[in-house]
Amino acid sequence: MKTLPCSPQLTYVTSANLVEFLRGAIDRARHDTAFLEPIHTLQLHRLQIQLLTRNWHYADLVRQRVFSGEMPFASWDTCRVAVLSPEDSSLPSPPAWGEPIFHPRQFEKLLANHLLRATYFSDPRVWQIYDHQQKFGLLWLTGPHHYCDWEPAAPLRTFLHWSYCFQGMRLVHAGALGKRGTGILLVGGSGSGKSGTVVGGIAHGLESVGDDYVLVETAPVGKYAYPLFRTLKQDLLGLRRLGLEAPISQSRSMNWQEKFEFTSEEINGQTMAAQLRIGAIVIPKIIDAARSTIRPASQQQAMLALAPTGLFQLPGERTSGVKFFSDLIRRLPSFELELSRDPADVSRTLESFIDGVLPCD
Amino acid sequence: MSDFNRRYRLASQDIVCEEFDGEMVILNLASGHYFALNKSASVLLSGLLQGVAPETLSSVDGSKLSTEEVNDFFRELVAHELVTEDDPRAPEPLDSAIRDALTMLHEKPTLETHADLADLIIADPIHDSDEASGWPVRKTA
Repeated sequence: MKTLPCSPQLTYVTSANLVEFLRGAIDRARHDTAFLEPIHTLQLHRLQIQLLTRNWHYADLVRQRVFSGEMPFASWDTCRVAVLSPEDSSLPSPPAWGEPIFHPRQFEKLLANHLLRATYFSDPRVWQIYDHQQKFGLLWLTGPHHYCDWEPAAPLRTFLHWSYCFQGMRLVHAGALGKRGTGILLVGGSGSGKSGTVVGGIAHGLESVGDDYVLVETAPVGKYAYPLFRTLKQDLLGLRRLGLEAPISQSRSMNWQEKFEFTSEEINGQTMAAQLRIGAIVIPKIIDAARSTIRPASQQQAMLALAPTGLFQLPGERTSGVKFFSDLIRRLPSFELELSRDPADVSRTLESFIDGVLPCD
Repeated sequence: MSDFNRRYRLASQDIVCEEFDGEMVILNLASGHYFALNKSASVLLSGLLQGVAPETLSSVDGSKLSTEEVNDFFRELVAHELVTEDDPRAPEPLDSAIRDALTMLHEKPTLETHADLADLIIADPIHDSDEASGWPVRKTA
């Protein structure tokens, strides 16, 4: 094994040694897992992920939270992701970023000409590294449980983001609801009512592929959304409004955002839909009216609701993301949904919209 | 703005503009700020990015927009570091499409700014994290 920059002597990573460090880390992880059988293999849309880890806890999170199932199309790509820490591998503790400021955009530019993607979090210290040429990713932790607070609800999200970007698809910060395979994307920032609308829709019989991040593919034959995560989230007030407080809140504790995490199976006994053909972008707006209404929205409104969080919450790929989101907005009609106080009314309004009005190309 | 009679360009490759039905969205991919321009502002910015000088755009015959409104808008673009002075080539003449649009639009040009995601962009690995709340909550001083 060649001498690697991620040796125990390496304390800090800087712009100067970044690429060498990342390549060395991937090589080290591949060596460490060379004889490890995948603990779990995920079947996602056009992507198969083999999880390599001795971290049973993280493996359980992936098994429980990441959607995996019968997909309409065979996998195009297979990649392996190793989840390693000093306690369960030969890797040392991940080194720190050695410059005063960690600026994700500058970091992204350092890697622009490489088939490498990476991001760093300082507290807890976590490196996420992906080598697209080798189709290998590394989630490098200081300890088996020392991942970021948001990781449990969406394990491997960053790796999915990078892998799909290379394939021309994109994780979109949106919920999705539909009926008989056709549906809408619900877009907007935190607190806009996306998740509540999705959960309410599922409770009232609509299909969904997710409430927070979904995979979107813009093919010549149409725009499609696919599930990535099984997790839905609501705070206590949202559960109460949806009539789900008792079955959900009493059986588990809240996450770092003070929300409860659950699955669609717990609401209606059904798994997420395998796909939804998307016919419109809908921007929910909480106005607490007596009746829900849907009216046309401008493309500018849709872009402002859709793009920023998708660009700035996920690391890297910002330039490609602007193009992806802009194209999506221009190819789909946009609407604003004024949400009433009654979840059943909201779901009926959306169902009528999807049934009777939704244009699809 | 120091010189109204020269060309301007987008301030960097991190500033990206997209137009949707005559209304622009600007994203600063480095800072996380994003902006919505109404139609009047979008037409003015289009002219600016074609190389037309601000002075020309603010003094179009028949324009419904006042010189002060137009100049205030340009100052906002500069203040938000969205545009910067271009090379010293002579500015471009006013395009007829821009001129016609300016004679029809009467809404004051506006630049709506959004900074809700800016804190996600930069984290100081040493100081700006909180063990209880995690990233990206900043530690208080």
